[in-house]
Amino acid sequence: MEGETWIGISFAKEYRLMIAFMIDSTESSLCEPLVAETEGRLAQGSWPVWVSDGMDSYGDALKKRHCILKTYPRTGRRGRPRRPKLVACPEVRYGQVVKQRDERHRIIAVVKQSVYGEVPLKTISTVYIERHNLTLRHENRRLTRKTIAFSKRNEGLRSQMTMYQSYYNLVRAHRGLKVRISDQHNRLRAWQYRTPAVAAGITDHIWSLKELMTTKIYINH
Amino acid sequence: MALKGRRPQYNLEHEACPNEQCSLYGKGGKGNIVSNGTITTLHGGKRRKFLCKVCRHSFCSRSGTIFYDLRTSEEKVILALKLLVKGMPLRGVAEVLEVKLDTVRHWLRLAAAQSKKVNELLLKELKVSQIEMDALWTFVKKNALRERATLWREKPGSGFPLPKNIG
Repeated sequence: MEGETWIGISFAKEYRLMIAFMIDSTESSLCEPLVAETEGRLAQGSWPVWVSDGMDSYGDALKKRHCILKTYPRTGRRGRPRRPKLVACPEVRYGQVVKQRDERHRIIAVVKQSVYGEVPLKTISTVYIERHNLTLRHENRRLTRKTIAFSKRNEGLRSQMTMYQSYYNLVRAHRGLKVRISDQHNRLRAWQYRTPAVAAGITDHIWSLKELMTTKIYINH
Repeated sequence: MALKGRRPQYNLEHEACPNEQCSLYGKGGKGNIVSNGTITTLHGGKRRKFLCKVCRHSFCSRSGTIFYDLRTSEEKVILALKLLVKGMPLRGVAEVLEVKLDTVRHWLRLAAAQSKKVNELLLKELKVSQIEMDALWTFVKKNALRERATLWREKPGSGFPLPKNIG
């Protein structure tokens, strides 16, 4: 796989947590494995609100994974009865932020729409992941635009992204997650910095890169 | 014979058998791990050795970390990885630390394998209320000139591979 490449990312907005990423040659082909991997990392029985841009493949992937066959009752009138069709489960909630552009590719309007389930339009946004994309491009030279430092092999890009994912979640303190802490006199003075993993309750402290690299992991395959 | 000084104390509770065939694989604090001397590295550093009493498997304190079987100092490897996650390209890191490009590439590969394990272990059973999804465009390509040179060399009559008596 060479040439144009897309990196799909799923991002937990409340903790700024990078849940999963997927690399593929087209954006539409990575949606299904990305949704599958993200769902594999969620707690059993949780039904979060999914939000994406105007790319319909994300919605199709969700629908494919959680669909029911909807049948229509016979009307009693003449003619062929309506065919049953696959629809998304009522628990699936998915919204889109669609950017409308003019002929010069300038944004003229941003439309929010609830595609599956009832999603309040106020909660639909892709602001956090768009900002995260900027962080990614800033801190990974392979992703920096208009440079000659692009990846030459797919394996290198995958390795860099895997390492950056754990670094971002566990090591790098996120300024948007800092909380006020009080001193001895109960005055709010200092800030406590947190990583996405600390905010999500996965760990209780900010890891160092050395700790990340020297932690012994035993996985029973 | 009296002992010279106090014996170094090491908490063996944190160590576990890395042998996947062992019945106590990955289980710490079971009392199956005992100290088994030390080994001296090329640069004079000492690494502890351990032995699993159940499967008789011997391993060192660096087993299971990215530093296992690396000759470079830990500080240098960590510095290289820090530079990589702060926006420096592979070639830049190799030049700054005066190591080969392939060495940095190898460290990155080891770090990615370790990170993958950590992600598998920690990123599960997440309770989140909203997930945002998006895709980034990027570019993966080999050096076209190098590819063309390889193709040219494979052509019959190109003179490659060079005869053995040359050079």
